[in-house]
Amino acid sequence: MTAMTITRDDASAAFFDGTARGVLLLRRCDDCGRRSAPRTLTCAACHSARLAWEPARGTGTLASWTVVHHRPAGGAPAPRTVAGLVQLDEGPWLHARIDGIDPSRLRAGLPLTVAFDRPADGEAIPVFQSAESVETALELPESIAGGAPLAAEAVTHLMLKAAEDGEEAVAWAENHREWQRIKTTCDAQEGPRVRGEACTAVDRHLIHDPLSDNPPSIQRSSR
Amino acid sequence: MAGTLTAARRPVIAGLGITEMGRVYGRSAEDFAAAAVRLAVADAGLDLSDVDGLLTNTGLAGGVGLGLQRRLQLRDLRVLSEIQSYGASAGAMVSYAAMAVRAGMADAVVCVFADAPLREGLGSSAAYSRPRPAVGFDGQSRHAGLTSVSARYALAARRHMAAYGTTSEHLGAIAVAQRAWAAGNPLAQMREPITLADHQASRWIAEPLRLLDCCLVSNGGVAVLVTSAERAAHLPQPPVHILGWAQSHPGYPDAGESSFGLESGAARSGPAALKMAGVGLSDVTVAELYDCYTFTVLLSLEDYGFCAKGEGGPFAASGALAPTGSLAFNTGGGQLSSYYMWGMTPLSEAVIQARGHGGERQAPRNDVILVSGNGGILDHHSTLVLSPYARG
Repeated sequence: MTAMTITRDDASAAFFDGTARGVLLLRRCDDCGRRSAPRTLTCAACHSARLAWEPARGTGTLASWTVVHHRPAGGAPAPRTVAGLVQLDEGPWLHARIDGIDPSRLRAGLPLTVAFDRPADGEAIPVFQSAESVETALELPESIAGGAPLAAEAVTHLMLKAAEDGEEAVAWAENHREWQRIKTTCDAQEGPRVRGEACTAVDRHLIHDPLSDNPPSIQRSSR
Repeated sequence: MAGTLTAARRPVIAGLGITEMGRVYGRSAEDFAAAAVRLAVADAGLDLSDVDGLLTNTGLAGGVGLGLQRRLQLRDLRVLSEIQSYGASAGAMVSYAAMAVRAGMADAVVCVFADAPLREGLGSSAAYSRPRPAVGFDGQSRHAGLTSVSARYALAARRHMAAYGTTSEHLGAIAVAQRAWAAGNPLAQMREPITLADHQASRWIAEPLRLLDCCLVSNGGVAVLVTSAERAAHLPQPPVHILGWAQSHPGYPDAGESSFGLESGAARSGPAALKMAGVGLSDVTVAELYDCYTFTVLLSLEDYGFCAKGEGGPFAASGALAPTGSLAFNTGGGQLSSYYMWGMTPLSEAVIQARGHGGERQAPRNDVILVSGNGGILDHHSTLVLSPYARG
């Protein structure tokens, strides 16, 4: 299975502008307030066509999933990926790849949090990870899990936890423009959204992002 | 020149045409369609010049459409349309043809499906998971891994499993039962018996679906000819009365309240079609249920009411679907074992059963036959109620 390049069309342009900024966008009905999936063009509750874009909290649960067994190529073992039907906490469903969870641990209702896959080409794509393992590994303070504190605190906390392997990680992260942006963005937000974005930030810039200049390598434990 | 609505204009299927089927290469979908139409017309004892209506349904390969009229030199058609509701199309076409005949709009309407997705040297799965650009929201789904129809049905099946405790072994019981029926069908491509162990040993395609949960892929074409009972009385084949028809398209929302995977359109189209036919579910003696996957059958069994909601798995595992079971069910082996012609597979077998031409697989009682069609990812459903007898 080769990496897939996703390109935008007119209908998805705003959505992928969001993912580029690390924000998962939903549709919100101007008339009745119902939240709908990104591809929705007519509100399922009131049939309004007046749908605005609104950031999602980035958290949800697993509604269904399939472990896809891809065709092996060139003698390599057949790759497996997990495709999820994610029910966002706002209600809408999203098809998304589920990363970092052993298939044997998948179950309906598993709490998930968004992250963003940023391939070298094409759009940034939301993927989902276990919210449980992220919370456990990072031991978020109760105040964050409870939904109140500012993002700066959350991000700082996560950065410090992540930096246990080396202080330079903190220095790198603090000087990183994207981290500054997320910190600012999250300052006005609360609760699960903060958690989602903060985890995403740590994930993307300290672990996964292949485009970062010499990113610190920090391994997170997960159950 | 519309006719008058009379009892004599009761619609029947009077012709059935099935082409060579399976790994037949070098022929286009339209080639198969033209051949199927010729076979159905000849089977009805008519000539192409008698045909005054044509409804077409094209498959993956495309190319079966309005051009079929010119290809077959059909003159002055009074009905001509392309129909598309995927696997529900056969039932839809027959119902539209039945309405045209009832209304006197046309007298001999051929409904045809054909496809040629198989390419020499390529596997069946390649036909239904062809690479295409990953664009927009569909690109998001493809990035998730949903690059095949199978993966999307797997999501549906897994949701049912999570809700009701359905298992892979339950699905396997359906595959085993249908293969046992296929053994008696000379048209079936897969007639070698299988066991539940064979099913469980077959490779995963997209968990929880294994290879033996998935239908075949076939090149070929099937057509039926719909006319009035009055006219059919002078034709060679025993008429198959079209007693009831209905459709349901749930329009699942992308949200938690969706019944995707838990209930299909059969829950609505079934009762509606039976009501039109003036019969109840307990009168049904043969059921030909659309089976792109074993799971589709399981869900349909529940939604039609052959068992309670959530009990499709245990019902299948009880052996009720086997040739020795309580229900004459997918008697030709279905798309899992015979041939994959979308809704024409259950429909063609229903016509064979209604005529009493099923040979060693003939159901002992064929007076009320329920036929289902299912298209998209459980998005479209059609039901037909057929019988060798006119409604009393």
